[in-house]
Amino acid sequence: MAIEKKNYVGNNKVRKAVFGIVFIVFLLYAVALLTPYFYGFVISVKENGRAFMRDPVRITFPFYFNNYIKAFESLEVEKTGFFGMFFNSIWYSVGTTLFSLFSCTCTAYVISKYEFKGKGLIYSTAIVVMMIPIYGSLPARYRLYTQVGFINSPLILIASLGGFGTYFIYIHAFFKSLSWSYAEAAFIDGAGNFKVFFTIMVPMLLPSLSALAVMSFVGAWNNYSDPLLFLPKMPPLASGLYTYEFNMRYTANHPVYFAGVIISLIPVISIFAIFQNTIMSSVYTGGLKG
Amino acid sequence: MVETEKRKTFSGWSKKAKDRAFILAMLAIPVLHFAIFYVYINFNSILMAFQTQLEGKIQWGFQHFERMFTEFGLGDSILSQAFINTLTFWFTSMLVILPISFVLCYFLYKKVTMYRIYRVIFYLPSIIPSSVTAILFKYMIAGNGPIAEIFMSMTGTELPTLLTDSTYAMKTLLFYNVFFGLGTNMVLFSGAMSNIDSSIIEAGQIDGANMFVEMTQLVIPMMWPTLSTVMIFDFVGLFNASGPILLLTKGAYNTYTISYWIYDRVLFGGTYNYPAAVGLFFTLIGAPIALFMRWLLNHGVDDITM
Repeated sequence: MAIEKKNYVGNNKVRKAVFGIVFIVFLLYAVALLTPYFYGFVISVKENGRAFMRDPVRITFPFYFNNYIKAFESLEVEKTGFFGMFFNSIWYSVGTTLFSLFSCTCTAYVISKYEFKGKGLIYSTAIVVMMIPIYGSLPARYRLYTQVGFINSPLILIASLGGFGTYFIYIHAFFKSLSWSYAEAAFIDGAGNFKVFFTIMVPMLLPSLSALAVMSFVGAWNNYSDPLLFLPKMPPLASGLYTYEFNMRYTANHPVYFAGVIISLIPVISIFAIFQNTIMSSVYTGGLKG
Repeated sequence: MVETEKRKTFSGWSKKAKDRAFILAMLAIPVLHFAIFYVYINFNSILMAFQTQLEGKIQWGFQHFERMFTEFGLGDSILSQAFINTLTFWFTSMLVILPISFVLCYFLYKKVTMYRIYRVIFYLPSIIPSSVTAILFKYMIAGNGPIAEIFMSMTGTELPTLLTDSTYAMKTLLFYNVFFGLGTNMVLFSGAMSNIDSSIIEAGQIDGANMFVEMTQLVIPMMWPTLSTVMIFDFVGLFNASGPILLLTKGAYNTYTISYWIYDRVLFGGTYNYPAAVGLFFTLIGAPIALFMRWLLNHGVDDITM
């Protein structure tokens, strides 16, 4: 017993030492990760373009918070001002999220809860499609979007209506784990399929759906490569700020530009701050089988 | 499951007919969408790989594939470089980012001091637009930026131009990927670890299992479904592996990857057929690899759960 106790204490000492080292490494990594964003804030409150060029590194006083107001007034890409880019980000992110989640919820619900011919085929196809990497479809996609008028149009949201993919897998698993007894009781009371779906099953899934919605929203808000290609004249913030920096990198008023950059972070960070526990606790995958 | 009864309802439709109509209504848009945006696009993409536009007429043949093999044969062509860079990005993701992010999540799961704060900070780069992070990174390592100043004060020499020099550009992109990418899998890994029965871990500790044993013989098997899923998707994205090339180098200084090269051809080059052929070629290589690895990794799951 004494030997076992000694070993256990010894083990604890090693654990404490390891945790101490890990804590320090994590602290250094966290500080290093935050530094670029802090640097962005430091630049955003500098006096103006010339003052920034003279000393781009050090914190200078006073802070010029009016750069944040100027960002709204002066940042412009493809005749779209900052408010316009902000608005584009909102409709693009919200639309993408609603369309994709709604579509995936519909498919996942009927495939997990109803018996019909072709159900197995649809589910297997959804899984196999995720597993087969298609690398060269971008040119064909761009050509189709051009032909159907998706380029520089909110119609691009139609492309988000796909009911399969990663979200389908998550939602399918959620529905599988939900009891069907509530629906059966509602059917006995005379409720129809749509009523059961919208008033009973979807509300039961809302906590999980909200986690996916946040992830989808953040992904769409941060997406710069698709809007750069498909929405060049209706840029959301992610692609607009990139284009602005690229076009104006030698003449831009950097503090004002970085003020715009910092503003663009506020919605996603706020949403993440509010929903972080939901995201961390709700999203869990148990492998893909099918 | 819904019983498809044949009894008549008040509206005159049988329960079975109502169910069928409901299923049809729910699946119509997604299935139509799949037919257009997946089947049609990919079918069209395959056709495009064999097409050449000459004076408004379409010619069929293997010209793009011949051109591609010729370019690969040259060794120092952009495509060859892109292929090597793609594999480099992929190996970095699999062999560096994945293991480190697992260890990182393990210690957060073990509640290292300030783990809640770390969890948020480490996940921040996944939340913040990468276009913003990349721009800030670019200013940080610029010739007049803070890193250059620190480098000068420490070594007395100027910091090399990290993004505009072929010697450093690719290495800088890899560093960026690792540095900002460690938190990418945090949500999945944290979710999986938090679902592990704590009594199993406690039993292991009482039996004298050190942290390495706990990590490799308890945590990994218990969260294998999640780990294998992440690895499968890494294999699925084998030739999609890329860094923030568009944001930092636009492929210059030997930093093209296959996926960025295709994107670049469409965005800046306005050419579609040749990239479609290159994409098809890599799909034909990548698909069997992805499916084989899926089989292999899921086979592992069966072994463990048995």
